[in-house]
Amino acid sequence: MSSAATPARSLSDASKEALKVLLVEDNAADAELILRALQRDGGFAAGSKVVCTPEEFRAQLKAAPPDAVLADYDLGSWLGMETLEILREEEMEIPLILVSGTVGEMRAVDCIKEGATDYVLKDRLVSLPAVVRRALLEKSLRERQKNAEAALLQQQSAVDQHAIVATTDAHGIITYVNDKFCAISKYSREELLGQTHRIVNSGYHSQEFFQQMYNTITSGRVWNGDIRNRAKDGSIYWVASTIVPFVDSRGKPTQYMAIRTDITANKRAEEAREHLASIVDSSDDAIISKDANGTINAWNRGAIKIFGYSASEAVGQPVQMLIPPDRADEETDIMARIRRGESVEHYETIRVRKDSKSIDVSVTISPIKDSVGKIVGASKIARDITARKVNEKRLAVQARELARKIDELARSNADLEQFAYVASHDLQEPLRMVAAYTQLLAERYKGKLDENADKFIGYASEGAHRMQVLILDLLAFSRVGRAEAKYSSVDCNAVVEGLKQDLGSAIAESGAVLAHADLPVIRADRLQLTQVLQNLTANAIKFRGNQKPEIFVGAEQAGENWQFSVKDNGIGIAPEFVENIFVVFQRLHTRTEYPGNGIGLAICKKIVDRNGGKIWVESQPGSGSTFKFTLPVKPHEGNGGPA
Amino acid sequence: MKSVRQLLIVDDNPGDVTLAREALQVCAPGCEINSVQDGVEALAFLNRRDQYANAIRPDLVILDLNLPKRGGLAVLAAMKAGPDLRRIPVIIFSTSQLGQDVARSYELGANCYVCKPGNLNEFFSAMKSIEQFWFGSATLPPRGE
Repeated sequence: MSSAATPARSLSDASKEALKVLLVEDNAADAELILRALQRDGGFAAGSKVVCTPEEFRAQLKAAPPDAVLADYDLGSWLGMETLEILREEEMEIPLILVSGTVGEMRAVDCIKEGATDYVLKDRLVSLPAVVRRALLEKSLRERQKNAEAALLQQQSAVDQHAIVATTDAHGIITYVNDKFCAISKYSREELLGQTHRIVNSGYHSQEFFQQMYNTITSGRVWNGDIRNRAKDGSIYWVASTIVPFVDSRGKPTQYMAIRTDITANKRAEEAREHLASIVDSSDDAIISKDANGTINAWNRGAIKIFGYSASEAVGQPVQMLIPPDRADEETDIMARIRRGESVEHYETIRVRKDSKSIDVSVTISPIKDSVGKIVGASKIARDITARKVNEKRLAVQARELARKIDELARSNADLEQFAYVASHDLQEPLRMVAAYTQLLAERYKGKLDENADKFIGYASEGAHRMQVLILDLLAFSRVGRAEAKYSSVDCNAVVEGLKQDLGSAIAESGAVLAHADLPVIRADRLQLTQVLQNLTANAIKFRGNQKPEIFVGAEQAGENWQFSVKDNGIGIAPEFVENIFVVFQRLHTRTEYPGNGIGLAICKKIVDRNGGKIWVESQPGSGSTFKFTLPVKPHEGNGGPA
Repeated sequence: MKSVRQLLIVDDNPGDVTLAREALQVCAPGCEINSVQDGVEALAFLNRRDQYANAIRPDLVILDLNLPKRGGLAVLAAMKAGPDLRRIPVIIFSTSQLGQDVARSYELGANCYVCKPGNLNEFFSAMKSIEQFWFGSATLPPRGE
């Protein structure tokens, strides 16, 4: 700024008021007079323009809007009312001062009524500067007021944008509501105006609550608080309210303005937090939190129950008080993981109660982060698993015991089979002597002793023979458990065809017909499969009725098994015996009816069992039997050795 | 003229020895049968030791496996180990049907393995077959000097 260079000029400018006037004057001498009055007598630094026609006036008004318009007003001239009209048309609020002769004074007064600012008599031009000043001042005041009103409106609209606003009169009757009030309360403006705020009362707050609010605002003080309201549709909303009383000069409220904010979501969140807190508190698990230094800062009822410390005893204490000394390192490790943002889940360890008792706990520890994600501590959920641990130990002992018993059983089973084998083998020796010598006796002394002797020798001989067969069967039965299964691809069609030869004499003697379906090729021990099918087929022939035996062998895949069937048209089996027939040495008939020891089906069952299959019979007496057995499609090969 | 066939039965069961004698009496009356009851005795007989110093060398040995003192397989092994006794044919005559007994017997040089039948008639016919084959069909090694 170079104010020092032009001090004189600044001074002279500053001493005069700048003023732009537009003169509407058709008399150049008058115009001169008016200007002089302003400049010389009024102290204005007035720039001016003189126009004579409406067109000139309009153009000049637009080109350079003046601070004031001075119009000559004479009866019969256009310059007066028309100037006012043009100003109005152009919506320009510029003070219009009429300059008139005495003759026009009355008309000029009318003009002021129409909107002109003032008038000055031509012969009293000396008062013109004061009139102009007053007009300018009025204009500036008017503008300021208008600006203030606009600002107030904008403020109001800004508040309306943000808040729920209502005003009531001194009696609480609603006199104004904004759109937000209508939106949240779901009442229309018409429904609200003339009502009191009771229309949205939800019945949640006490009488005292409202009394306190009423006392505050009626005494002219501002009230703040959260209110739970009910909308027209019954829904509940929460508002944070500020009620401002507007008071008169005596301090008595004339109306109240309530500005509210919807805090329903916050309240819900708060309720959810409280609900969660109550869940946490009522949990049987200990739910505690600790800060980054390991100091306990939350302790629920479950924690009281599990650890024995009350909340006031625990909060503020180091979490180490729960950790047995020999596990002190654990906490260091855990905190290191927490600091890395990791969780520790279902970690089973030991903790110490207030009464020094050790308890087994399963703990889950997670980092607690603040709003910017910084780890500020850890939450810890601990469950008392002492009972479970005791149970687990008992179960483990039981499992070990069971395993031992199974092992024992397997061994004793193996022993038993070994015993059966050895016993039957060693029994054969003396029995062979008995059999051979009773036979020799019979041959050599038949008819040489008395009749009874022959009969007795016969019984002894027959008994010895039967015992020999029994022992051979027992040997065969025990051998099923001893022989190692040898798996190969077995064509079941060939196996059944082979039976026709093996059972040739029985088939020929009975006239049996042995037929079979198109049988699969399966993975099996050929000898074992042959023995099962042979025993079943031999039985089908043996237990025939009066008709020629017809035997049909089928097989189909059922899930992971092959299911074989051997169907006959023999005598059938009564339902009460269908379980018994697979037990070793179980017979349903006397030896005279059907010979045999009852070993065949027992061997079948043992073979099928050892291969992981099942065997059963479907039968009705008199209508034949169908023996069915399954073998796995994929046998556990190499698992069929001696048990 | 055929010389008298000498047979040694090694069996601890006198019942079996008697049955064998009964069987051979009928089918081979000219056969001379000696018997001993355990493995030690059997080797003493074959080597003509102690009370068997005057024993006659057998043409055929029928040897049970399950014997007191020294088992049948040990006797067989001892016989086949000596240059002299190895020529004498040995028939294992046992109730054992175990494959390993049969296999071991042949491995040690048994000439034949026969299971003792449980039935009298089968027992007799087995003995008869042995006699007919070994003393009839087969040519035995010459008696050592």
